[in-house]
Amino acid sequence: MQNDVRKLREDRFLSQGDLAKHLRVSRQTINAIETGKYLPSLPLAMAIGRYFGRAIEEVFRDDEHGLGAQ
Amino acid sequence: MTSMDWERSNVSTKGLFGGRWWLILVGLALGGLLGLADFIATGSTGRALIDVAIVGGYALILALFRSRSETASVLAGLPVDERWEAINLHALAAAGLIGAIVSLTGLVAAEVAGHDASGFGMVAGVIGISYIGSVIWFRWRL
Repeated sequence: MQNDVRKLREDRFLSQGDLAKHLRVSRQTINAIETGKYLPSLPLAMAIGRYFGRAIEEVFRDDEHGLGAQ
Repeated sequence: MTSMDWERSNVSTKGLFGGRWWLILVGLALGGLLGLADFIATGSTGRALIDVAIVGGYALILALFRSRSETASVLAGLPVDERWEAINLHALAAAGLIGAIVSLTGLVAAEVAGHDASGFGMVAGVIGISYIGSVIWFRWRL
């Protein structure tokens, strides 16, 4: 699973702390999501997408070997 | 459901300790119980006070640092977000697994050596039964 959280955040000149504060999670959690070490829950992924004005699938992308891959 | 709903989750460990003073009180109460048991067993007031100081001090440190450190917050039973909640659950699972391995190893070793293995057996039994019970419980809750 890959995501564009870092790019979307940096495009808006936000620090990890700023985004963390808005989403009410820790800065380390934002870092873990950006580096792919932590896969957020569906509610948090939706909140991230909503914050950036994107659909979840525009922020988080499954790889070709992911669940449900043909 | 919002991103903050994990805070209200039924399976969250958040709320185990309601606040800073509650955490300190629980630590002092546990330390006091250990100290009392130590005093009854050995008659040593010094040892009893050391028990209270260690457990109470641990709780005090967690209470003081939990707002500054996410790790301290988890150890205090108040993970700050869903990732720390997951870290807490993974750590609990790892501790349970290690406890099961140690108790079973101790049970076998004590049996082989001809010692009383009932203590290890009781701990292993509690871990095993509580695991099975938890699986059945959470099958309905999650």
